[in-house]
Amino acid sequence: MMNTKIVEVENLRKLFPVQKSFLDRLLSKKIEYVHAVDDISFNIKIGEVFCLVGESGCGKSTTGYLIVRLLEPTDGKIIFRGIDITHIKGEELRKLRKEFQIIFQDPYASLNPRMKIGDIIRHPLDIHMIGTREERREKVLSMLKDVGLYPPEQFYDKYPHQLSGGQRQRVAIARVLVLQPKFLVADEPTSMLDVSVQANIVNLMMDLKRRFNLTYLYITHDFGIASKICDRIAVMYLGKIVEIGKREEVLGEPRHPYTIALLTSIPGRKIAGKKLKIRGEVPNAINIPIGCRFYARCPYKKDICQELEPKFTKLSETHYVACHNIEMIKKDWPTLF
Amino acid sequence: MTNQELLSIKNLSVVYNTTRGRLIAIDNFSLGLSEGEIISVVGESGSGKSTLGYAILRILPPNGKIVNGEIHFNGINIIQLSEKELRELRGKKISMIFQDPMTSLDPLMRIGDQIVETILEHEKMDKEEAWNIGANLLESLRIDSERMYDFPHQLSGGMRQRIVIALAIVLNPKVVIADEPTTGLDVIVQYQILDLLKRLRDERKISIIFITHDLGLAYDISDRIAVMYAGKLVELAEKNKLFDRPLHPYTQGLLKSIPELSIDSKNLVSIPGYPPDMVTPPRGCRFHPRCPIAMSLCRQKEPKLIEVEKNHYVRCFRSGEVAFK
Repeated sequence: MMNTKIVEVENLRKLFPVQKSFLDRLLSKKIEYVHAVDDISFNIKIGEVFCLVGESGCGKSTTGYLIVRLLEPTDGKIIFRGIDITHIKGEELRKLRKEFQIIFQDPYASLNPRMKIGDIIRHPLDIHMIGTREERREKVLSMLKDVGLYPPEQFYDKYPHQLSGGQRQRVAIARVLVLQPKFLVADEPTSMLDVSVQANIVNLMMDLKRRFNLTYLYITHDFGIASKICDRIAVMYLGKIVEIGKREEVLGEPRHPYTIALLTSIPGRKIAGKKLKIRGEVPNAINIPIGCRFYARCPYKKDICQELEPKFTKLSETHYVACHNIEMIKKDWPTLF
Repeated sequence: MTNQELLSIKNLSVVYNTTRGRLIAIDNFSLGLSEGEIISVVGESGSGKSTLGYAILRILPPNGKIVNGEIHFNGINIIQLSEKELRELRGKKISMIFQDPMTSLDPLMRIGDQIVETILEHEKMDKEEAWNIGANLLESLRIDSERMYDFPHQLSGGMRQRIVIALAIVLNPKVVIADEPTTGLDVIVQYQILDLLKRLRDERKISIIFITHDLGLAYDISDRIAVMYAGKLVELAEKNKLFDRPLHPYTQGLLKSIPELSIDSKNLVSIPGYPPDMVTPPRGCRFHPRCPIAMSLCRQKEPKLIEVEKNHYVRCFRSGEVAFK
């Protein structure tokens, strides 16, 4: 069977130990952990835009970092183009990294302020020793053109502080694309930008995707953007995926109350004409409840939810929801559009 | 504009002296706020929207200066007030909710002490009385009054912003300026904060100037929306009017660039270019370099703000012919 999956994530977990005070350590208190990513599985197909949506602290960025191996997973497996990359190190990792890259959220922090734009983009080529000096310069110039920074010769010698946020994010994109990766993690790449500029960057990324045959894991808290670009969506809450499906399934017929709350809380004119209000905020991920993690905030909760963590219910070949109350939700929210 | 305006801003201009030169942050801006009204001031970074809030409270940074205009509150011109008179005004008549709830609370003081301090700064009473007022206020905002004993770091982001709001209204001001109060909060919490602000208006008749970059949020909370671009008010209208029939090409572009949740359309439109450098703003209409319908007149002359329809103000030479698609 031909493998159409570029990334496979199996039972991935990442626990961060909570810093203990000296006294606590002396008393050898039990170490607590933040369950940032807690047993999630999904795969991304070649050529797909896969969106990971959730609020801050849900583990979406951690998931992205784990996949590009910027963090060491606690447990689980990450398979990239058939190769298990969960624990590869050193030279092996460096070589493969050319193929999977990440674009960070903050273009004000991700570019070295002391380096010229051209050098920033050329740097990955230097590290991987690709091409001669001349070829590298040519490559950088053509990359600058590809991300819409004209005239490239002029941008080559500028410094990051001379550019606007949107232009900086273009530089960040050029820097990862120069290695011709196959797979990109985009971690909220437009959340720091003005609305009128946001779409420029998203459209550029989609345009580059077509031209360079890329696959994206797009991490965002903004369902609006997700609805414009994704093929499939996974919604995360407290380290877990609570709903996953095709774009039309998750947006049109969401079945997890958290998904519905997120979708109907988007500011501006309302889609379903009503809103699912939920109380409280995302709790911290240290003391994880036994039952459903959304229990405390859920308007649909019943007793079983507190005792038993819901498993995925398969609603279609592609649509899975982790909730005990799907039937009730279906009745109240048949469709959002 | 009418006489019942609680706060009225007339021809306000604010400049900053920067190392790169003089920058006109707000240029000839006028706006009136009625009692119990919520107006959103919408704009991108550099539009002057935050400066507007600082100017009203006269808390501009040292390099900022009001060079023209009047700001009347209840008939008093705020611009002519002395520092002493301003202290009476701030907090008691007009107060502000700042953008970042993480930095607008004192990390070393209990919430209760911060509220008490604010009250005692302005009112003569004993500590216990002030503490009770604070506790009652929190309860009325549906916050557990036990929170009075907490330090800011013990609270979540949303709870902190609720405390900041409580601090802003503890002296019963008539006007609250909320400067991007939900930035950094997640959509669900954001919605809870909007709900709280709307309740302040309904229950306490507080007027609100809601400063935001998000037209969607502006739609959810306000009665009227004022759109700013590069220091200028470019459009002002009732919110439904503005959404149904925006007349300024910038407002139109901004509306289109909201990535609206949709299942059919994957179309994402943006406004080409970037907001201008305010030290050297473009001549003529400041939006012309990014405007899809600019003509040669727009490059030379600056359009005036005109009332195109009743209570719908637009600053564009072509507003009469522009239809929104």
